[in-house]
Amino acid sequence: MSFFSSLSLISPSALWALVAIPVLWFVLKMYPPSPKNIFFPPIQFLNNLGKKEETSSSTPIWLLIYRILIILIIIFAFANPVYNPTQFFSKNGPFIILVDNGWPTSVNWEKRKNKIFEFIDIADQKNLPVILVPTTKKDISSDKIELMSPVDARSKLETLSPNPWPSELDYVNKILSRLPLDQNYNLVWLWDGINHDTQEKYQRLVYRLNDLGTLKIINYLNDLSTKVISNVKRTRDDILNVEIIRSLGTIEENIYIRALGANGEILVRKKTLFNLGNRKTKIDIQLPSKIMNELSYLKIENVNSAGSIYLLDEKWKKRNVGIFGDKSLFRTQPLLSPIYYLDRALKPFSEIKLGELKNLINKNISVIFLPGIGKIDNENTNNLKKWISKGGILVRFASPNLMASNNDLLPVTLRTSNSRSLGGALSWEKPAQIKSFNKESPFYGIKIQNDIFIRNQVIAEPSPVLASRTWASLEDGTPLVTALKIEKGWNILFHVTANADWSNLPLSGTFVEILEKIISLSFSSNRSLNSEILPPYRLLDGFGRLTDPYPYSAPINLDEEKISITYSNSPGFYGNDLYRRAINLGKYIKNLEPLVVTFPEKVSYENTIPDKSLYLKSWLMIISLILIFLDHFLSLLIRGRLKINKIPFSKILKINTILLLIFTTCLSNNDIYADDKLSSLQPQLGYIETNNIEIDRISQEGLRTLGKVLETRTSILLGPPKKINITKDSISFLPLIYWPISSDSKTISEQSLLKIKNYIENGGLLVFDTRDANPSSIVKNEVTDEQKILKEILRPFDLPALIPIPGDHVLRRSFYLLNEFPGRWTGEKLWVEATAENSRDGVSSIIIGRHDWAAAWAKINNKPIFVVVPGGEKQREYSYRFGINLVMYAMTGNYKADQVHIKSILRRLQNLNFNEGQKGSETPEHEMDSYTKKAINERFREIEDEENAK
Amino acid sequence: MREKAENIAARIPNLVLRANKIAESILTGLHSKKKVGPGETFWQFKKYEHGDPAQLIDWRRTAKTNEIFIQERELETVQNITLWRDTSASMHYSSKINIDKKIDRANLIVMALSIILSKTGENISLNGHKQKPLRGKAATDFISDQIYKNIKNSYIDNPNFIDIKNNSHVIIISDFLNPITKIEESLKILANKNIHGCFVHIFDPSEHSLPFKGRVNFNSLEDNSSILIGNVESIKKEYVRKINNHYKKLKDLISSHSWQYISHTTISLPEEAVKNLFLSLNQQNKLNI
Repeated sequence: MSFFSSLSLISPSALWALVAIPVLWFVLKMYPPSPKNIFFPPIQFLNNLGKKEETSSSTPIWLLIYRILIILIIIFAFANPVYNPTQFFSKNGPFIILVDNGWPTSVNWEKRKNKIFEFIDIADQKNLPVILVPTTKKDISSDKIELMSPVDARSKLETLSPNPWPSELDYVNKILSRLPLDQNYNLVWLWDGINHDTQEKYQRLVYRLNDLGTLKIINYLNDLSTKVISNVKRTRDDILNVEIIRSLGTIEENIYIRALGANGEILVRKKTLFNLGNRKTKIDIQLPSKIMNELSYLKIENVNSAGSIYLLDEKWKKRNVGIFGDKSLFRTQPLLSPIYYLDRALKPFSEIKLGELKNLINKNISVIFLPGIGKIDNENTNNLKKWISKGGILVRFASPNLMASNNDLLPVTLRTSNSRSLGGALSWEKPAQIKSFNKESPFYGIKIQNDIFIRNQVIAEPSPVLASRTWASLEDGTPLVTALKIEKGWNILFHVTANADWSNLPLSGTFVEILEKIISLSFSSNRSLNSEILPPYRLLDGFGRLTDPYPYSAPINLDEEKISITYSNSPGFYGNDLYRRAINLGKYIKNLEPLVVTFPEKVSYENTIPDKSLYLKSWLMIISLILIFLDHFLSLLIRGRLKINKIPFSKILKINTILLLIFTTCLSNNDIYADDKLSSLQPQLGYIETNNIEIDRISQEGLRTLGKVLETRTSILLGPPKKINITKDSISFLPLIYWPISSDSKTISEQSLLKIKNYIENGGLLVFDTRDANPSSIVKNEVTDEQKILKEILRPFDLPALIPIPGDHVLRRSFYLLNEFPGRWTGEKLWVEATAENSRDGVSSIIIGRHDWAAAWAKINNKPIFVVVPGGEKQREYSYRFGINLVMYAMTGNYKADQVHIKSILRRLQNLNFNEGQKGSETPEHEMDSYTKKAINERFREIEDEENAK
Repeated sequence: MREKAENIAARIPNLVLRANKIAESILTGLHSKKKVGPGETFWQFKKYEHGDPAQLIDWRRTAKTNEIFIQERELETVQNITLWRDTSASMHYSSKINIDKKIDRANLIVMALSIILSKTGENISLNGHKQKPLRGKAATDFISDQIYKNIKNSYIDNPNFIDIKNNSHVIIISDFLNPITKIEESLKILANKNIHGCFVHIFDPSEHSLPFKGRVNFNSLEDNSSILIGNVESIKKEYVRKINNHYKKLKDLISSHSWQYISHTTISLPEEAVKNLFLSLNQQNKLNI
């Protein structure tokens, strides 16, 4: 029982072959072993002797059984049995499976899950009830103990997923305390090896579990160190300083950090290194400030957990700022218009929208400037009030007509009399300067330029609250900027105009800083704004994807000193669509360290995968081979041919070698098909079969003709092109695959995706051709079907960033020196991988273009099939040159990037340029772009210098 | 085809070579016992007696002594020796690769014998060919030619007894696997013609002992018949008894007609057979040696 229960079949379908055994029985019975044929002259003397022996010459029954046994063994071997002895269960109590499903487990959750399934299978075999205990608390109702049948446990496990918060020991203890103590439990703890609490608590838990029954702790699934982005700081306007920590410091590790936009597009990808012994690393990510605004989160590449993601909220972004003012003035005499000054001052750090007030309010804008606007109509006033209370910031500026307006939407009451002017013709006072900001003011810390003079201002009515509402004042104490908080928002008033009429403040750098400060209030980390409780808005799930809040998610109070990440406060965005704050897991991980626990003697701790499972296929095959070998002897024995001194070894060996060959091919896992052999012996170009026969034919002919051209011009000898059905055919031996996209191309299956990924990983080259750069679609300038389909196909790939082919790309000089890559069409960009630091020596494995190259290459009977436009035969020649470069690139990789060649290439290029200048006839249409020219000249000079130095 | 033909052709000089070797060894052996000098017809010198024809006087000899000698030649008793070997299909058999086929052995014996006999000046004829008995080198050439042709062309299976002259000496080489009655018939015909001779019985060792085991399908070389024996060992005894019985009958038959019987297995040396054969010829007839 114990042997068979731990035996499992990987491909049980092979057992269907057992059906054939009765047939075999018959066949073997009907055809006894063939007799030896001997010529014998005195045959007549045997005439009457043999008859009585004849009947007994059929196969003996024991031999028959023996042979059936061999076949049974072979069939069984093909069912691929695995013997997996588990000496685990020593006790017959319920089976408790503790599953850590906190955020670190998501990285290899499937593996963990499968492991648990295995345990449940064991429980099933032993007929034990299962208690599945996830160690993360999900909601209040979940902390009860449930004895489940293995079947129920499986379905529960199916729904179990990692949570974006850490495991909670208190919760586990609470559950365990509900267990009746009179049982002998089997305990398995699939832990994540991370200390989420204190080491002592874990130690206590281990002891406690050990007391409950037999405990087994599985650690080998934590072989990868857990990595978390723990903090991000903006050290400069365009630099983010990212801090990454990991749980284990035992190896040197390279990781990539991706900065991603809102839709998941990669903005920047940077490598950083964990030094040996270091658990922390830092990296500066620089982004142009324009792009910085698009940045929405940072991610550690290839790690999908809540900790590997660092969400960036509005605080990191440029704000949407609205300006409502007299647009006509802005257009006709911009220098007089206040909008102009605001626009200039706000531009570096905000997204400015000009428009009607009504529209601005509805447009998800957080700060609205109202320069030179006096009266606001009632409807807008109400709207603005609502908007402010939701968190909007209204900034108004003084103007002559402000005086006439009501005092609604002003932080302070203004004197009804006219504004005062300083230093004017009729004034005896000098223009005033701004007093340095006091500590209560949000402007505190901003340096005031001493050439700022305020000549004119509106004066606030003195009142007890005036001082507290003043953020900036002049040296004589009169307010310059006042502000009033209305619920979540602010109403701010500048007591001067936004243009240079009343002061030169709008011309100064101080003005910009003040405005920046104001805008930063809208997402402020300023403590005065923090006393708020935000509802969950979009939360991360265990795999680091943003989803809707869980039913048990609770609002978060950012005010609290200590926020702990639990089921109710999981990482993600809190707030609403207008204003949201990111709560990042990494920030709240105090100490990412591995667990250090001493185990009581009885505990079995599995740190490496205990692969006790025995794959029996090969052994069974060997046994059957031996049995077949024996069978030969037996049958020879029966036929009387077996002479002890002269065993016909050669014959037996011959048969057995054939058998051995068959068997070894059966045993080898990577089946290489005959087709592949061809392509491994002679390189072939491949093309992906489309649903369109015509396209396939063009690809076939195109690649064939290209092969011929290669043969005549280079030393590459290619076999006939191979048509690839991506789901069925193996592609591993092809150096290059041409992938024409047609409007009816289908997306690819998961399996073929894996195949292609593998192909790329191992240095293959995929050339995608959307074939749509024909003049009509270029003119239309819209996204064609083919492009959409290509996008669809490429979506599941983990594509590195693609860039238009740079001027110094190897593809431009792998055989011919090329500036353009024309096919049947020309003029479009060719996209390659941004090859900065990939594992394949900087060789791009994907090339995407639109030129329909195969059509340009294709010739039948030495006559081209298609006309190439617009360049005619010259363009076709260039398309062949491109094809040759392409194949060379696929074959030699970055060989031509080698600096050895650069000198002669540069010489040639210079000569070429020189000739062009002189004659203007060589290749006028392929003029080099300035970038390349410059790069070449620079490089050339460097080399000359080096040589001179020598 | 060509390869096969070349193979066969290569066997002929080989055969002649081997036959020559055998003949030489036997001839030299014989000569060491006899007088010196080859002399085909010379027998002895004899004192001239009255009545002897004068042309027989050997003058050289006479001149050496006082007496007159005549050269006495041997009696003109030149034998017609007819050779016949069985070329039927059953002869083309050897149980092992390194053993001669029965037909090869028969050919070898015929060839060697003809060389010896040609040297002793007998008239030799190969039975089955309408060719007058030949002497000397012509005989050996003809025979080797015939053997060569026989290998190449059809076989002459049965001895043509009508052609055999009376008082011939007949040597029959065969495996004698045909029924005894048939052999007896032919023997009678020959005996009636007052022909004497010798039977050379060639057999393969396997034919005597049936050294096979297990399940065997025995095929005839003569026709397409075959016999399947489930277990050869079980019938071995019976077979050996049967074939020995056949051999005994054959021997009895031959000795009852006072012919000579020589048995020869293909594993023994061919010289042996040739020597025995030659001695038996000597016994029966006074050859010119």
